[in-house]
Amino acid sequence: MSSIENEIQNSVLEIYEDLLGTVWAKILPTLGTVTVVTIVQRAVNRTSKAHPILIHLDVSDSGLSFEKIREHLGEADRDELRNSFKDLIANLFDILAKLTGNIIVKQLIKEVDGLALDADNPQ
Amino acid sequence: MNSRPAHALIGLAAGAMPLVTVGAAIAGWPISWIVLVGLSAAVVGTTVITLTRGRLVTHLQELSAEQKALSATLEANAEALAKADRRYARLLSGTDDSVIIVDTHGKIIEANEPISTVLGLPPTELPGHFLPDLASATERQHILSFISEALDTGKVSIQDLMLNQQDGEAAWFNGTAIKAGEETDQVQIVLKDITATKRQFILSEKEIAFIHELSRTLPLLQDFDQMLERILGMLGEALHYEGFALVLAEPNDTIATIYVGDNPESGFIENIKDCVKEVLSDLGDEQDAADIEFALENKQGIDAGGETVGSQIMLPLAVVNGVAGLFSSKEDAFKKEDLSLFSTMVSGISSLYIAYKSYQQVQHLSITDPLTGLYNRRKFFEDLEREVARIIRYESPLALIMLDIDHFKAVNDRFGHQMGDEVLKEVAEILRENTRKTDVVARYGGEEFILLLTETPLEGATLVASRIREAIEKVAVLGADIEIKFTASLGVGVFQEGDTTDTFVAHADAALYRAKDNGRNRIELVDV
Repeated sequence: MSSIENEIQNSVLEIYEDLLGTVWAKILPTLGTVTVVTIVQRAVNRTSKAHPILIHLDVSDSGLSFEKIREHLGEADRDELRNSFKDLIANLFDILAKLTGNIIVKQLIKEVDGLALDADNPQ
Repeated sequence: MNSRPAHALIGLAAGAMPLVTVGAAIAGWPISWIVLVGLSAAVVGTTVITLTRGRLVTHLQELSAEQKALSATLEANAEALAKADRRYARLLSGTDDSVIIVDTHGKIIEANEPISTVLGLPPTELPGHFLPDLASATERQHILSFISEALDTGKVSIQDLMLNQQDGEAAWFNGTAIKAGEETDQVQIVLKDITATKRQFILSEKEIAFIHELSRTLPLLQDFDQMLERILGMLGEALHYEGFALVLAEPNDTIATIYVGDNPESGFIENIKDCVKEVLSDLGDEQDAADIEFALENKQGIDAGGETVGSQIMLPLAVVNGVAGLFSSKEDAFKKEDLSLFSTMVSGISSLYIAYKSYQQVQHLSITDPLTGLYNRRKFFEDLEREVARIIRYESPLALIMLDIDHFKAVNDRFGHQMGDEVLKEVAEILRENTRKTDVVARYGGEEFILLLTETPLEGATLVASRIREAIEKVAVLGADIEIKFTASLGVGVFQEGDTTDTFVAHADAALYRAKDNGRNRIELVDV
């Protein structure tokens, strides 16, 4: 993989790391660590069926760790990487919406909207 | 000379002359004297006035110069002040942190935008409020001490403070207070919003009460239904709902129950089922959601449930597969606080289920022989004691079979211990197949097994022993290129008057040894 491609992929990862970190921080006070870990883990499991790169995404009590996914960047090109995380975010919001109705999702969409727009244009 | 002041002076002089003239007339002077004195007075008055006017003009000129200098200084000061105000306003508005100025009583003099946003009050409305009044009663004294410390010591005071937002929710701040100036009794406070961090560690009173109650259910660990009953009681006290569903979708252990009040609408229950199945499927839980059969329980304290589900909150169970949900027929029935509390409760339910399963596993291991899956010797003797006590009371028959695999050491020596283990497992299976659920079947040790047959006389026990012996004789254990055939000897006994548990077993054991001595692959009975 060229260093430019690697840089672009890392930029994509950084943006989604930031975005998912924001989502995590916003839902944590309401749902608590145990439930947040469970929901995010389910979303990752569901999305990784279509995007295997996501199996390297670690979910623990302290949040999402991107370390392993950085080590496996060669397994997906930038478009696949971006699509993987887009689908993960969509699945996460879908699960949250089905579970908690409007209580969390409306507020989340408003708060992460700006970040999501950035994620579409990492360059 | 300016004509207007000149007229004024002549006027004054003319004014002085009549006064003097009137005075002289009263004193009774002659007219010529009076005229002379009057004219003289007018001349003197005019001279005095002219001299005073000169000094006044000089004085006025000096005053004008001083005024100009003063105006210039004031203008410069006002400009500096405005500049400082602009800089201060920029500082206040340019920071993400909340900044407020309060007086010695905590009265807000000035506040910036961020604090207004956090507290949900317009910036123009904050001045005039007392900062301690924006906190709970228990927090007020703490806030006043925080302000006093900064004022009294003149040093920076740092404390974590809790204020109430307009919607009633608490917001936490890390506050830094410092005296606003040398000669002032005002304090500037910078508040950094730490609500998100704090909320991770702070539980509501209801959550604490729930966790306390949860710990009290631990002695009920052997009975998950009873624990669940207690949790439902806590749920009913803390939250208002019309339906509660719990699905534990573990492989080989699916529990799916919907709890509602009396006489709910059937559409409401069907709606709950659909919601739960959909979420289970979305969460990717292994159990096929379509196959789940729900049990329905009516619980006191839960409202009946309307026609359809208007709002719901559902959460996945942690570690185990499954979901728990609260349902109401009303729209927007659940708030953020309900979701928080329910999340704590669902985490608790998950933990209890895990503890219950672990307890069951430990229980199972402590009474089971790991190789054959039959009861172990300890469990057998526990059950034997209980059964003996029971039959003595009710005078019912109780039989015992002891079984030993013939030449088992040779099997081990010739084919290895692995094949020996296969033989033991095969015998265990035959014993299971030929006994009832009420019988107690255990591995007594090595290649010996023991069976306690409840409500069974000697004849019945003999029949069972025969079936077992024949089945063992017929079976073969297959290994790589080998087929192992084996037999067993059995001793059969019944509990007789005067027996104890020890003699009961000893008699059956003696019968077994007779079977061995008499040629193996046979049954011997105790002497009755």
